[in-house]
Amino acid sequence: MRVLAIVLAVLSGFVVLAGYFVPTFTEIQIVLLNWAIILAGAATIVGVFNLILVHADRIHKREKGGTYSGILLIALFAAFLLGLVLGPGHADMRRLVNAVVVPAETSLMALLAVSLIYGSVRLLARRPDLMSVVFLATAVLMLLASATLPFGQASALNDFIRPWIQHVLALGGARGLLIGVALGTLVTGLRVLVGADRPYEGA
Amino acid sequence: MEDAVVCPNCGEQNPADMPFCQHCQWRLRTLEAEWGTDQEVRPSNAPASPQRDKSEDASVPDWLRASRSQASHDSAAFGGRLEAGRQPAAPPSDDDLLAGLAQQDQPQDEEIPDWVARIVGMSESGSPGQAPSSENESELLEGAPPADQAPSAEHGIGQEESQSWARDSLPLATDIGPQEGANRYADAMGTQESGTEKSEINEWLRNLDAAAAASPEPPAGPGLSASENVPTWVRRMTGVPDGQPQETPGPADPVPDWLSGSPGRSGEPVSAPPSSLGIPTRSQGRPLEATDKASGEAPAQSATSAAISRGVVPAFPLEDIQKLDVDAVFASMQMPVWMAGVNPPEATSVSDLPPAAQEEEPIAPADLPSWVRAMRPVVSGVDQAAKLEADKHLEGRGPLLGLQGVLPALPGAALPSGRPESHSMKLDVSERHRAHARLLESMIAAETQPLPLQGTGQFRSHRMLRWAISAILVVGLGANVLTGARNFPLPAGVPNESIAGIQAVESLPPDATVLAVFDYEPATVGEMEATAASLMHHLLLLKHPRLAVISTSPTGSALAGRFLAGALADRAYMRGVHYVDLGYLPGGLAGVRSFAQNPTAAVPLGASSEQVWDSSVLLGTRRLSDFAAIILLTDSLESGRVWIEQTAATRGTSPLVMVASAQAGPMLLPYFDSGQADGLIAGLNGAAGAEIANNGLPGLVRRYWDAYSLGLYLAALLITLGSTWHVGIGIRERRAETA
Amino acid sequence: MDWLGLVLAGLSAVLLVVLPRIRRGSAAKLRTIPGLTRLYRAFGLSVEDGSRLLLALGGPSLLTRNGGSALAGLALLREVSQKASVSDRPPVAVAGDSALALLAQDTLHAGYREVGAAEYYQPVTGRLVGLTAFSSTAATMPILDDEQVSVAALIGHFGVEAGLLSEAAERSNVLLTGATGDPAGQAVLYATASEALIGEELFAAPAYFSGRPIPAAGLAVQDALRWLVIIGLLSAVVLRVLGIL
Repeated sequence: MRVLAIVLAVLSGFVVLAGYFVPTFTEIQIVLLNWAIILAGAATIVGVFNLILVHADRIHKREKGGTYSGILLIALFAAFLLGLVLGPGHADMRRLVNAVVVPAETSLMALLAVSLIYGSVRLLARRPDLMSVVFLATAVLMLLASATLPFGQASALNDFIRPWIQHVLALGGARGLLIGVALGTLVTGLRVLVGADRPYEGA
Repeated sequence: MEDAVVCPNCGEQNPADMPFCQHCQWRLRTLEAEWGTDQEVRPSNAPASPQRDKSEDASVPDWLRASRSQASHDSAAFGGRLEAGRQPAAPPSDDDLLAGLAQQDQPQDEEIPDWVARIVGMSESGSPGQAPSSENESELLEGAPPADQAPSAEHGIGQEESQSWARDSLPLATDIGPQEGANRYADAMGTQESGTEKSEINEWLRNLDAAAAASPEPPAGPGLSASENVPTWVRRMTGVPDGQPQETPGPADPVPDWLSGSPGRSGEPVSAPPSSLGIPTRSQGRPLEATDKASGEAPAQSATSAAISRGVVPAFPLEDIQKLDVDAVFASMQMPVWMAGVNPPEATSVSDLPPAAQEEEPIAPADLPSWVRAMRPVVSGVDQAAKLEADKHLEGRGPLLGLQGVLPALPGAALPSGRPESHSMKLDVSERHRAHARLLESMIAAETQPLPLQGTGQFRSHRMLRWAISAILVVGLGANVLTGARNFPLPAGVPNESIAGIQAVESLPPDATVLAVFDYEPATVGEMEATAASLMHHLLLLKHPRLAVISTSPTGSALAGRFLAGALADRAYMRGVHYVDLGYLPGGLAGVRSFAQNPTAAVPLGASSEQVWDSSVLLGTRRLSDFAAIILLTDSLESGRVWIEQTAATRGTSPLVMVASAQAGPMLLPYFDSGQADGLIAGLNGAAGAEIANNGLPGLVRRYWDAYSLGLYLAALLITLGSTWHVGIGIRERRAETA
Repeated sequence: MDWLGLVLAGLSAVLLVVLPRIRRGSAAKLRTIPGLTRLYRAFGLSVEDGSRLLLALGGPSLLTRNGGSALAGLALLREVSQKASVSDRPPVAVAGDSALALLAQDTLHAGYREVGAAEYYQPVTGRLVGLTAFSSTAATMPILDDEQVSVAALIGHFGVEAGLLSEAAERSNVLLTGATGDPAGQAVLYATASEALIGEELFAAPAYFSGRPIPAAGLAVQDALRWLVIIGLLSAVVLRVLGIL
């Protein structure tokens, strides 16, 4: 059974890859991709079941945070039932999202702002080196260059320094990182393609 | 008690049948009385059974056989003499473990060593200070093994070897007649007793003497010489001529030193100290001849009488011993090394020999085993006897209790003590020990004491720092928002990518179908709505497009409705009338690619499962290129890249304008620079230009700009101050370390 | 430009197959990465003292290009599950995508089975914690404190929300090592995490943990391709300057 899974995975990968270069495999590629999309949607349902199982187990074992797990499960089932009854596009469902999800995540984003400032303040204490100084100096410069002054704006800072740092230094470094990540992704994908790595090798 | 016997040693009464005193283990009966006159006296290690096999008789030499018979006769006579002054001996009781040694006449298969028998006799004198008795002396004589004893079984000496050493060591043993030898022996032992019972030794000594008298006298060997001071009986045994008259053995004279234990007697020329074995050497002691011939019967009798008067019953009266042929006896003994140089005595005339030695058929000299020859008492033995006689000290304690002649302990040797030495139980502790103990205790106690934790103060300051930062931001920004201050002007310059996006939107035909992709997270709603509001408002205001909303995020549909109903509320776009919601596009990149290739197949129904492709909003729109433009609202680089790359081949000439957050904007700029995207509105900075182009509508950028700028400045200030603080602390700590 | 991609892919595949055979029997020479070294040591200490390791795989779907970083996280999870099978508290893998969560469960199970400890596998150790980035981050933060986690590794695709995890790890005294393919996330992790891996060091974690030839060969192929890209970029710049391009 494990060998069959490996064969299917490798074969599917080669077909999808070939579909980008060989027009003959395009149709098969589309079919396989559609199947992958369907499986991803099904995996979402399985993932939700896994989430229910984890929190139910925490409630059953009376572990720390079990109360919050109970609230989560209640909210999950309630939203699911509402979605089944009203439909996901219903106005009430939209209100539910806007009233719960959006404030929660925006709050986390605000908290992140404080965390980032705190982290930046403690960076030199945690990692006292030249790169940390450069990092902080660049961050402060970009912060200052992104805003305007009450009495006007520093054109040099806003029009030259910030664009240069943003488009040259930052962008160039980011591209290098992204190229490296892309190469790593390529190699990792090929390892899965040739069967060297088998994350699907389960039970 | 009628049959009680009074012990001559301790004076206690004992049953008549007891051979030894129950109190002091003194011998109460002579061996002759115990064994009987008809029994052969065998003062040997191996008391032979009287019922000997014929084969054993055949192997016994003739001289030995004769000595045995003579000894039996002598023992009977000895026993008779003892009865005159002695109570009938009680039969041995079962409790007496050593009684069996005295019962030589009883059939015994065990070999009772002679030295054991001797010890038993000596241990009877348990109290110290008693005079050594003739019993002790007799037991010394008893220690001499019989001639017929074959020591090969015990001592590993073969019969031939025993005979050879006897022959070699004491070649002159046969020179002495049996009677003379007995006399000499009696003189040496100092046990002269008239009318005493014949003991075992007396018999075999007489036999030997008789045999020696009958046999030709061996030539004088390299042993004793007549001029040397050796006992007469030794001379006779070794063949040394007896040239000196024998001294009358008496209380003051005849007892050998090695028997009496004294270094010498009065009148005894002692030329050399006795040997360690108590056996006299050639250079030792007084001449034996002075103790035998001259004494004759009278000295023996006087000595014996003296012994009896002292309460001692000698086992071997001197007169009996004098009659014995000692030569034959000691010829069978092993000559010790010290006697190797002893010259044999001069041959004596037959008339000088005791009666036993004058028999027609004397005992033929035989080869005595070495150990037998070693048992032959010589001058030093006489001296030793004399020493023992003089040494009346008995050991009073320890395992040698009651023994006479015990060697004194070496200086410094541990003497047995009835009470162990007492030791102090108090521990001897010095000051150094106390110091070490205190140190060890402190070390052990330190292990159980918890170490104080460090760094807790630092943890509190971290929380306070967070609270401080939060307070500064909340207060500062909140006040600015609440007051509605407009202190910070909008940026004057408009980025090129923003201008391009505005131009792309303005170039659209009116009432066109536009695809709006809402790919941002709920967390970035505030920034994204503020960034996209101006462009979208400008689009809706100028071109009145028909919108199709889609998202690759599950929450995208909801966010789209929020945006249209909130930021663009004044445009009053209604769902189903002005825009359709295509819902969630699953599959990420694959889903986008699929949608790009065939939108109707990828999303057949709307978010509410309604038919959207046949609605008035999407009438005539079947392919991606049918959309007039694609507006991508995203806060991530990945989403922008996916839509740009996956729709590049199929969107045709439809412009793609991106509205991105300040985080993703710089990363998406290359796509604009490369021409893959037609416009980019990145953050509030980019949106400011769009809002200016839209105549300040809807005004979200202006509303947030002061708080945005203040927040940036506060963040920069906090980071600068905090970093400077930590740098200063680090410098101070390094200075402290170096100092 | 499709042929360029095909050439690169083919070359990489060949090297992936050939290099492990060439280097068989010889240990791979890998440069020291302090973040991975510290992570490995902390992981060993967590197994010894019975605490838990948390491995977060991020939220990208495997159907996106960010799925490569998630695959690297799965490869590391495979090694971790084998080594931590004897721990009193098994490692926990969390993901922001359903398919990724299922693959995490399969990977954990496979790791336990390889060391003969399949009976110790618990399905709840591979979890889906959220469907969005911030929701999964919000669900991961309590795990650091509630489940006695001593070491946390963010190996996948993380955005700026990784800063929240770093702060939660600092408050819970958890060693957090972060590696992400998102530049913004890298910046945040550099400033807030205990250890941050830069760029493609994310894909080196499985090789450093396992020491097997195939992951090391993958790193070698990456290095080779990187040099090719560098040469190509520099050549293009030169040619552009010269006016050829």
